[in-house]
Amino acid sequence: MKSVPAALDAPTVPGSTPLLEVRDLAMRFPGGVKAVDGVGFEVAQGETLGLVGESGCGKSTTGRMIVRLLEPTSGTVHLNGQDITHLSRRELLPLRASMQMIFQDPLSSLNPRHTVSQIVAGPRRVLDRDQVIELLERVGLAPEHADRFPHEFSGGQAQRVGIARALANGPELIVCDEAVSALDVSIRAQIINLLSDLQEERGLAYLFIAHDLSIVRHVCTRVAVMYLGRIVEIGPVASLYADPAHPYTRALLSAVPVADPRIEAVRERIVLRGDPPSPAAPPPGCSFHPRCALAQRRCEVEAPQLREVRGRKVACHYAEISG
Amino acid sequence: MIVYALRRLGAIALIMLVICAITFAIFYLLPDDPALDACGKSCTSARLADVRHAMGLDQPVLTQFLSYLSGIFAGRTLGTSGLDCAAPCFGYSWQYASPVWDLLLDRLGVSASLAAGAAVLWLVVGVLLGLMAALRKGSLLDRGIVLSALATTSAPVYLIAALLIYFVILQGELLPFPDYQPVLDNPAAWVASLILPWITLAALYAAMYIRLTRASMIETMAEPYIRTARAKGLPERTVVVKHGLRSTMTPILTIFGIDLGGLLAGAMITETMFGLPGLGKLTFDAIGKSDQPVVLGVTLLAALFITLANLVVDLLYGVIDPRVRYA
Amino acid sequence: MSLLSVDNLSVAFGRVRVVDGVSFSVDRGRTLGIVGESGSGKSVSTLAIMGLLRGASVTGSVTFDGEELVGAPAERLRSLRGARLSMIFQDPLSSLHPFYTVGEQIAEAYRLHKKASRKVAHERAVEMLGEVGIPAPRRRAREHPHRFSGGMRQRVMIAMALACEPDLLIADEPTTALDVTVQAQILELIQRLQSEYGLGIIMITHDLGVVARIADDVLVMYGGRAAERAASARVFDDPRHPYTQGLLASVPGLGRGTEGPGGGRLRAIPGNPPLPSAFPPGCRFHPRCSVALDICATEQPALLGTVRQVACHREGEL
Repeated sequence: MKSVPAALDAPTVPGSTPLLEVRDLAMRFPGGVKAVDGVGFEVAQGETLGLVGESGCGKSTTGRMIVRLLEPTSGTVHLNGQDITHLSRRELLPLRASMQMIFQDPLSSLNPRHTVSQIVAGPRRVLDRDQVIELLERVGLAPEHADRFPHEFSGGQAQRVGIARALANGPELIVCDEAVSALDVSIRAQIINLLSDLQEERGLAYLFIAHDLSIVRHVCTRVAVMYLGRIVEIGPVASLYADPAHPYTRALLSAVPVADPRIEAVRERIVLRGDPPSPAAPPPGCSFHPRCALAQRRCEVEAPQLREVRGRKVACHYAEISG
Repeated sequence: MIVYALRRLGAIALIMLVICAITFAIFYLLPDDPALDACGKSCTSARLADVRHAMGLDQPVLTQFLSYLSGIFAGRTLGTSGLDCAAPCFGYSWQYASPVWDLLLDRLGVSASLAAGAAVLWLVVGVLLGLMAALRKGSLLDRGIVLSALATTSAPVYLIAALLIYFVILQGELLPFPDYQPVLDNPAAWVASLILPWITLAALYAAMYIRLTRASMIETMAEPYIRTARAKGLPERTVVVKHGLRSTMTPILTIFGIDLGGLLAGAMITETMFGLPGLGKLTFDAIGKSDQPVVLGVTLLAALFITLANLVVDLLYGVIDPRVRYA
Repeated sequence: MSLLSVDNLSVAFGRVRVVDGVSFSVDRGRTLGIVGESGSGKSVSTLAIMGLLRGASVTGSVTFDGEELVGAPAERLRSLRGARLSMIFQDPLSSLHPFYTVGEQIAEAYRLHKKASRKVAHERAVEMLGEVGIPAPRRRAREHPHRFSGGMRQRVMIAMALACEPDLLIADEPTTALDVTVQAQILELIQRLQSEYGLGIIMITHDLGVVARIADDVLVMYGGRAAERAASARVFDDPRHPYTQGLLASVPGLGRGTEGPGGGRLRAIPGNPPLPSAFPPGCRFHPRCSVALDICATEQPALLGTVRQVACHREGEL
């Protein structure tokens, strides 16, 4: 999964077009709630970009806008250089093949009245039965699973069906929205390995939306951290995890419990006070300032823009003194 | 909440206007001509025209509708007949030779008595049996209750009524045939005349409420907050009554309000079977005689009761469930 | 003597034995982490201790502060629940009654067990809300659960569980539904309250990181049985049961093993955790075990050892 060398937030070879390019994407829900507020990033062919953050930070909304389950209020989404932000359903149809999504709850995202083979082949029957079976075997299911219904499967198996369905059209990009969060620990590892093998085989790119930072570290080349609808830090996994520059990233990383009591016993832990504010009423200036230990007067009035700090992009006025 | 209630009342007025217009239009389109009925057996075409003119039926439909509407608020004189119909005027029944409003008022007491008594009965029986069934889910008692509820629901009202009349009144001679007396005149006779109709009507609804309560209670008792209540060490009775019942009653209240609202405008079959002079019987007779003003009046009254009951239920919801916000 | 000791506990629903001969103990001021996947029987075991399983047959022995709880009259268990044995759950929103204020819900148990007046109990509720770190507790006590955030609701649950100063707190996945930063707050709170009240804690979780963070001892459950039981440091340093080893290898660690990116493939355990209705014979882990022998398919391994207990036929050779 790490075949692409880690670069900055522009991972592509200069001059070539990234597979996915998101610019200033915003989603404003009725009532003025800014779920996503000016998010931008690129995903190169065969790369995995992690999108992390806590509930309500807008990461799922971002994923849904990219596959156009939601229409953005503003901003653009380019797939292979083509602007798909405002395409109609009909115009979008041919592009659906190259862009797929896998969801958190595999059972509720599969049609309960269709057999697995109907689900995988899709409404327009892009695959014949042999191809369906081949695909099922590839994702670790047996041929006899083809005629079963989703409710006959365990969570892990259902997620395999979801993956087979996403693969049927030969996509280039798969948006994984908390795709392994609901699974048991041992099953989660199986699915992560499967996703990683498929990526190597088929040159897939993933946008990996998750709240589990240890999995994101394992799976992704680069990672974008979101807070209250904005990206606060984006960069290569290794340096971001080793030396987080945004105070929120630092707090987030230090909050993840490590499966080693000795590390846990001596670890320095930053426990944030309070809850994330509501996206309906974000604080002025830097939206993280009420919970931030570094906050100064400036943070209360001026929203920081993403800028380069230590080899990645960070939206913090005081990123240099953080860490 | 007051703003919300006022807005809902406005909406109800609009709904009433629409229902009024639709009902009016239906009667206008029906081939049935009220003038023909009023004209009598030896009707000539000249006489028919006179009657039509006297009843105001020769006016354009819109004019008729508008005068009907204004009559409700200001009263009117009917056609050229010289008959005065004071506000609120819901038309004039030629069959009963009486303004519809007077007829409705006269009969409302009977229907309200029937509905209220039956409602108390079915609510108590239905909820209690439903609770018992839910708390002993899967037991013999549960199956017995569910089965009898199912049997009762599938039995037509007239069958229950006929059985009661046959066994209690005709065979058993335990009660006289209902002779309705207003409650203030003679309470004992009031109860005696209504007890069988109450049972008849309540049987049907109780069966429905048993199933409703049972389903709702089973669902509630599976909620995590019930487990929390038990984990706190509360006695089972407190768990059931304080934590379970309150949530269970929420959906039941909605249906109860609408059922009661609908019944205030008359239970047609029950009233007819027992010869109770209520709105249901009035409607039944009016349909048979194509007494359109009466049917129109009852329809509007029923619609008003149901929409108001709905509003009351929605407002009560806010009292029961703190998550409900009026906007 | 341990505060709680569970010996050979089994729980069956009809013919399905969901928990099969599990033993463990918890001391005052200590935390036992119970780890397992779905169907491992970790939640059912603790619900059985609390006497909260309806229609299940519970056998074995549960001694709480010297008193046998299995077979004790329901009324006796009820008087212990909420007073000396408390429990908090995974989803704090659905675990709180939507129609009553949080103050009422906290005061309810206190009134019952301490025979306190309405007023005294309400004061206690306000005090507890402050204790668990809810700002403006007097005002918040009069609000309903839906007005609280997820983390605040779990604090309310904790306030409710600790209002009567119990000896043992059972926490069933208390942070699973919460965000990591909020999880960190709740774990910190639980640890602070533990040292204040001298609580014994059973922490049920699937998250090995949470166990490493707060547990003194660990019980790993698989298929309704104990697979391994030892002090936390031992289990994480040197896991002996193939299932424990597999679990630890399945988790991409932030600090452990995979230093730097490019962790490569995870060492996943093949197959699915078994359902209680179809537990395999012999060692229940054998169909998924990479080192299984013939004996594993037929004979149930005993949980052996003193400082560390492992239920594996190959314990000692691997």
